[in-house]
Amino acid sequence: MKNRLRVLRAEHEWSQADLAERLGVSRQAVNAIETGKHDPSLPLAFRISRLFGQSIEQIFDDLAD
Amino acid sequence: MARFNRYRLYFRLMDVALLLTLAGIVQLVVEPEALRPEFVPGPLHLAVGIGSVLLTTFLMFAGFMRDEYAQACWEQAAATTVKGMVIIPFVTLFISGLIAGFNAEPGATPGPSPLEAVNGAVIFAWGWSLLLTLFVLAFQWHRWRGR
Repeated sequence: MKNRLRVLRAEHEWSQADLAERLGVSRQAVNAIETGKHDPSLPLAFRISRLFGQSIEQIFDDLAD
Repeated sequence: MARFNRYRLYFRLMDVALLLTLAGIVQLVVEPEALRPEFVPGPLHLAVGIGSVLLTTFLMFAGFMRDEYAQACWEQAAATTVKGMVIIPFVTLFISGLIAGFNAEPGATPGPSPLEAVNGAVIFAWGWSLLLTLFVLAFQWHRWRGR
């Protein structure tokens, strides 16, 4: 699933490790989500949504692929 | 400096487990006599073998160290390992039969099955090692290619 996580992270000038710490996951998980290798669970998607103050639909695009 | 993160540590330990697994495979390639039941392992064999078994066993059970991505890789690796454990004995028997067939003298009566010389302890040890090896390789494979 495509997403804007990398862009949002860059806007906040956070590293993957910074974002991982804020979300309570590993850096590898953030990397896997950013590259589309892993689709986050609903609870994690909500945490991401809350962290960036945007809706899940604004961050993730399930119609892209 | 990044704070201690048990999720990140899980991936690091899995990398160490992969290195130990690969070292074990290299040892077998370099010293194929290690496959024989009468082989007496040296300190390096023991260190790699015991380290690999203990670490991989720990990682298989350490659910508290897995975030959802590691858990997803774990589940994929477990599924791959089960499939591998079903298929590998068939493939091994087929290949060993082919090799025995090619090496046999024409018209000679077949000798005893090589399995007759293998005792239960060897099968147990190799089955266990194979399971752990498959799990580590499958985990890293799924992690590398993305689930």
